[in-house]
Amino acid sequence: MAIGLDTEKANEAVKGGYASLERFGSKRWRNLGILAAAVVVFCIYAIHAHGFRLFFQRIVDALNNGFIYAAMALALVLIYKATGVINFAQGNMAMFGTFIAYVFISDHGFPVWLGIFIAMLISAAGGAAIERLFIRPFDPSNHLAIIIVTLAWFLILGSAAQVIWGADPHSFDTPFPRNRHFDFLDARFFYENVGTWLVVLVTLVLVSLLLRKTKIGLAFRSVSSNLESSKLVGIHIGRTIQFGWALAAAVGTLAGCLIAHNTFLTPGFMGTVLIYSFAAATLGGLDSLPGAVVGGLLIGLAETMIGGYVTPLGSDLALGGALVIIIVVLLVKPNGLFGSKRAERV
Amino acid sequence: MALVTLKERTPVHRAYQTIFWALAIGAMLYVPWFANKPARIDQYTQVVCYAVAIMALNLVIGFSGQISLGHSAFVGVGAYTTIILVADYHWSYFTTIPVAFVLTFLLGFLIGLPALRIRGLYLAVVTLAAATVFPTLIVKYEDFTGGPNGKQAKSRLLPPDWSPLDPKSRFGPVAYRYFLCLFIGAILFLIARNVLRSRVGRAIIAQRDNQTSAATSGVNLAAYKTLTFGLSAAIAGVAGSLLMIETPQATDTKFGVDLAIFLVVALVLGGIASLPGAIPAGLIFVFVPYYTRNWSDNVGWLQGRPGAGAISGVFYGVLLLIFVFVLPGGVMDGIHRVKARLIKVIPNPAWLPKDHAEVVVGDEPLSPFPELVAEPTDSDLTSTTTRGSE
Repeated sequence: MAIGLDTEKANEAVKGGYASLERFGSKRWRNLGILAAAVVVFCIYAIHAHGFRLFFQRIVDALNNGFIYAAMALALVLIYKATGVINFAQGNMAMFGTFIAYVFISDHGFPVWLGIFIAMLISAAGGAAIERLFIRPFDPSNHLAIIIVTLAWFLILGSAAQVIWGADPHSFDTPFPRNRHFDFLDARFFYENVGTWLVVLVTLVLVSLLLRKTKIGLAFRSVSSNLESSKLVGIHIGRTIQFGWALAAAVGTLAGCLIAHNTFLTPGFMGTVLIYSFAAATLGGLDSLPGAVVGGLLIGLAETMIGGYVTPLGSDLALGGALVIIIVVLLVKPNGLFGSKRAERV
Repeated sequence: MALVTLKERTPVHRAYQTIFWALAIGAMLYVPWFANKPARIDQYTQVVCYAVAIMALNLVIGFSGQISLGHSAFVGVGAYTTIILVADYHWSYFTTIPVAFVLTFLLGFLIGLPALRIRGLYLAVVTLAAATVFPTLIVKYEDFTGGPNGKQAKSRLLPPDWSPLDPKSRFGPVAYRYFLCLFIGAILFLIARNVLRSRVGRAIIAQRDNQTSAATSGVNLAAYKTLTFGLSAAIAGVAGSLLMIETPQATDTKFGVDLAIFLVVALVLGGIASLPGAIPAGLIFVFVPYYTRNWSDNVGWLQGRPGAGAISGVFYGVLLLIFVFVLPGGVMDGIHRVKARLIKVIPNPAWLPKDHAEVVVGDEPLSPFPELVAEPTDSDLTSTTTRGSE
């Protein structure tokens, strides 16, 4: 086989190529300089092409999606840190939670905030139950089995919602004043969007406080950094991971409820959001909470800007553009922008 | 105890193997008569096509240990290659298959290149994104691909003159297409099996089981990972071409993320890291949604609900949960367990060196995927503690 013949040369070439990529990735300040220069050039082009007003408005619009992606990416990162896998069911867990909120608000006439809060509690209980019944029986290092469990729940929740509520879109009420806006620098800020940003920001602060100031948060950080040592100091691993799942389910439901007003509520409405959030979490580094937020905002910006300014791609292919960005970032920094490097022991 | 005990590689063992293979091949050739309806034969042709795609996915997930959620894109590229060449350039179906093979091999190779760096879950996300982008590309380049209306070829493949199948009957063309897909699928199966048994295959499996020790034993990780991904993509591409031979119509919705996910699901149910597992996996892929849909039409509490057809998704999910707990190696694992109860193969002492150690044979067969049954041990933990206290 040809593969067997010139492995030496090919190996050297490939290693040399990746080593130079690695060196490229390690020079942080120069890369930041390149990135900043590219952003500045793009901004000048964008303002020159369509004017400042549209540019600023697009940034404002991008932030709306960006914060939702950030919240979903945060949920993904929480589960990744706890269990070491990407939760493919996250989108459908959020969708199901949003439907529960919808039932409380529309069918039982609860106030919007209360409905969302109850749905978040129910989702947290559901997430904890999934962890207890279907994740904990497996060895934490058995990633394949856990991924299969998350795929199974992806299918079950997605199809069950379709059976229960049908595939037609439902309109979801927003907890903020509807269709009212204020203007700033000629851009329109809708109250519902600004409210979404604030809620997501408050959630981020609360989650980071929870992880930094409470005992269970300390346990969570300890488990995600070293499982064996955490066992040795007497942390209950199962309950800690369960806490991560519950928290992630609640955050996901909140994100779903916040975006459902804009996208309408269908069993598939979190599909695209989930894929952008995967991209966001990957970009930021799968095990970094600040990375999830930065990644979410960057992916939101990239989506809107590519859709708006790169005319041959258009909004249909914004995801393709985002995909190329992720691949390039991962080639230079294999653990994402903020992810931690892990050394392997043999 | 087993019913029959056979010594390895004795004539009796060989006879059992030959009979088993003859029965298996005979069963596959008998399918058109067993199915007995043209529509049902078409379904079995689909089983073959999807089994080929699942086998391709198995090379990546089961044997090289990476997770790909983007194989729908490769199947789609193969399918569109065939349908565009046949419909617009009037090629014959056969000549498009090598083109699809080469094209998807190159595409898989290109996507596999970042896979060298992007380990594990990062690759799953990148391939999932690729699977999402593919249908939008199809819609975007409408002139070339037919866009959301799909692309059809008018001419379908008919049995040639030398074959005993009548091209004008209802059964002839369908049965011919079934045998053709089966034949091409068998060739691909042999290619995959021989690759896995060769030096290349051992290297691929070694890097799956322990990347670091494989690398220190001189396995060129970069070359083998890209090779596996490329080969897998190429086989998936041919599966797409075969699908177009079965029904010459390609639409963007046929090759979306759903296909990628259900291929993974069927693979897990059929049996990870087992090439023949693709056959039960293909059967599951085609017939589980079909029968659950039929069943859901006749269930009282589901009637009148617009999304009742989606119940097959719930069914699949529950099936996955049951399998991952009870039978983690899929259907093939079950078959192996039953076989181990009936037939026990012991090593032939004549094949062993003179002063060999005693051969101990257990009743339990080895799992095809050791990771799934590996029990966590506390021994490491205790040893660390003692070392710490010293």
